Amino acid sequence: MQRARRGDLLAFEDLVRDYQADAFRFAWHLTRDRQLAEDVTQEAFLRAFRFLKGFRGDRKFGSWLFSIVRNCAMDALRRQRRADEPWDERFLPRSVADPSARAELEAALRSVSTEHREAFLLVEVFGLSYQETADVLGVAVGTVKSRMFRARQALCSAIADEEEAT
Amino acid sequence: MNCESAQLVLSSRMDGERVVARQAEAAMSHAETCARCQTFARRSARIRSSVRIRAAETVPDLVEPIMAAVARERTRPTIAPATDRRIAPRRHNTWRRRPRHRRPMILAPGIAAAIAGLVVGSMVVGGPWQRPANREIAAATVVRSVRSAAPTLHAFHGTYTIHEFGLSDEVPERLLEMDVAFLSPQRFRLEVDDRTDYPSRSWTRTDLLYIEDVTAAYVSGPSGCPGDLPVDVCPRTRATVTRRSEYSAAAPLPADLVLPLATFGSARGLEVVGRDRIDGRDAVRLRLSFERAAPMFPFLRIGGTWRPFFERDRVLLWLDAESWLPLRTVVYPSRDQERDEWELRYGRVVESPDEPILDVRMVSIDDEQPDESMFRIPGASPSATPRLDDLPARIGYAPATPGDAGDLELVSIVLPTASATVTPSSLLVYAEGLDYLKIAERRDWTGPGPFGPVDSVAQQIHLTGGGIAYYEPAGEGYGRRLAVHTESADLFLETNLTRDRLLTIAGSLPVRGQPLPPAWRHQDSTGVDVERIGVAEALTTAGLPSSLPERLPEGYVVASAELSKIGSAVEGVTLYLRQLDTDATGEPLILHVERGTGLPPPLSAAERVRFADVDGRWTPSRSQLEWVTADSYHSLQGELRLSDLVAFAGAISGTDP
Repeated sequence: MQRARRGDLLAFEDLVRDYQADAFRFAWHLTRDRQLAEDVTQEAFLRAFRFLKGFRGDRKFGSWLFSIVRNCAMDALRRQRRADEPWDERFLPRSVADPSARAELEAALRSVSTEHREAFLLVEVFGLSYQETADVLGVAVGTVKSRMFRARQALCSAIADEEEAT
Repeated sequence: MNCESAQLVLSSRMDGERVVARQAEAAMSHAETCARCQTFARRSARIRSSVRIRAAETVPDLVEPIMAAVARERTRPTIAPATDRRIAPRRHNTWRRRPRHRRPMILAPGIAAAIAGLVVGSMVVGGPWQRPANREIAAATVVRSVRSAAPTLHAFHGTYTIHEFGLSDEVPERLLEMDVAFLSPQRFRLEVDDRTDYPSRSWTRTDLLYIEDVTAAYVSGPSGCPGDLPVDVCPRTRATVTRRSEYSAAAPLPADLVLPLATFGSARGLEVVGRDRIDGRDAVRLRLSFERAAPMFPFLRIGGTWRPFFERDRVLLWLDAESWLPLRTVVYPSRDQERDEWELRYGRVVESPDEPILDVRMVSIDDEQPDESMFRIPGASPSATPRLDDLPARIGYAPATPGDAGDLELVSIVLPTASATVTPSSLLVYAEGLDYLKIAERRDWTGPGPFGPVDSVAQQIHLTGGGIAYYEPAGEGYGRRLAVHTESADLFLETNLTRDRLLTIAGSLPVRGQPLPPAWRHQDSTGVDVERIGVAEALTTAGLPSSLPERLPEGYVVASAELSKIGSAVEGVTLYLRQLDTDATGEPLILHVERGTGLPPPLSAAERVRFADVDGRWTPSRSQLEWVTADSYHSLQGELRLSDLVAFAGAISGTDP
């Protein structure tokens, strides 16, 4: 990180390798478009490179990058005006063992509001803490806490409780 | 504990967030016997395992194209990171002039003559300033002088320019013209005319109109950015929004442009830098934070698009040394390290602390007083002000009026149509110049807290007449506030007068305030019962010295205290520390003490701090200082710098840091 901040391209390349998958997935969640997500990821890393010298390292690089990805994604959506298109099924994890469980989760995630889904993805999928999520979304920690809870409530009531039957 | 509370705790615990041990236990024991909560926990775990299996094979490898773009970026000299502080060069004199149809005004340096004619009374106030000798100027003197000028100012009409820098890459500089008028009693008008040459027609101009007529308000202008989106992301084309309100409890919005009364509520955080000449006038130059000076930029809150500001950005302010009118206000980026983090969070370019980002300048003052028609609210039908004597017949009671209102005169009586439960049934407005006092009354108020925008943790005050009232300092768009609860009525007072004057006037009301009913002092928050208690009792319960209130830094008081209980066991004590006159942030400092011998695990990046003989922990993102003495855990939270919090912590733990 120190070397990358001094403008060392090889060090920055290591950061890109480490974080590109998460950055792309998050961009995909927000844009629901594979090509757009690739553009957003590239643009976000480019912005990160521009501002890297100012990054103090008291936040995790990952959550800092996520907030840039989010800004770039909003930007891209504004240009493309695709914000209201339906949820893209391709986002969902491919390797869930049970295909029926995947379909079920897919349906459930559709029922969650964007606000709640965003918090849910950052915490549950990307493993950010509430504080980091709050930093990315620009909201209070308490708001993340309640959005997580509301997202879980909505998801729980949406999925068929098949384990009850077994 | 109910299901909702238990599940909230379960959800937080799943994510590894800190939960008070007792709450966690209560949630677990509830869930043991509750089928619904067990289902919630089981399904949440199942969702987690489904979601966390990642689809690695679907992610493209973008290293090549990203690094190629980065390499190209490095060869472009204008975007070399951080060395070139401003990406786009500033343009000057490229404004497209639009025709104006306004009567001509006096242009600087005519300001000098106009001000002298406008504010006669303040010559007395400005005593020490009449001869520009090099004497030392105290911030307290400025505060006192501004305050004293308020009742002498009866009319004002001036124009200003607003230069804004760094809205976005495409619009690096904007020029707006602003017209501000005031006419006693309590009528204000603010009009912003956006003169910027935008790159395309898709941009909506920030043209605003705001009118206040005593307690009624009208605002028209393009909508603000939805949510918390950065300017770059916000749609440029906006709808015009028009709002009208018959009654508002807030302080007059543009008043501080005329005279910075709310900004100068106290001398805290004000620094007198020296003297200057501005447009031929003798001016006093002051320095303060953006947060502190916020009431001087009301246009930012009315609507339209504006760049964001960091709360600790530096504001330089030039006040006319005779009339105390603000002549010029310039905002510079703070040198604070936290600003860098803020810039990154908003994805903004690094801004040089030496380049202004906002410059508001008075350009002319009209020597005639503004016409009454300027303050007429479009679409509102004029209604006759009722007479005080007629009120019992109209609303069933005679509103409480103060026996001693000083120089203030009753200028308006408003009987708002009770659209909301928080609307008063009668409102008396007293004013003299810019000074005002509003007394709102409601007869059927049922709580569960004081009537009006007064927090349930506001400071309990004993008035001179023997009654009790609840006081809240100025902040968050309101002036100083007081709530009085009696058996038959609930009163709410709001003013820009000093605290002492407010309490004196409240003491002369023909009512005897009572403590809040016991039911209003309790609130239940996820299984924890929170009860408002007396400060002395709280200090004893928390094991804090009874002399604590006297040891706090000057200007602060322990405003109120709460006791948190789970069942009958005391969980902890929370004290609210406030400034008497104004809270720079509008928020109190919160001191929480509970039994404990160690610090809980950190919630986010924290650093160790040692003060006096105590080891503490500082969490910058939460502005929280925590430390343990003997068998008590302390947490002090508030938007202050670490050095200020440490000073408080020293006073609290009985040591000098």
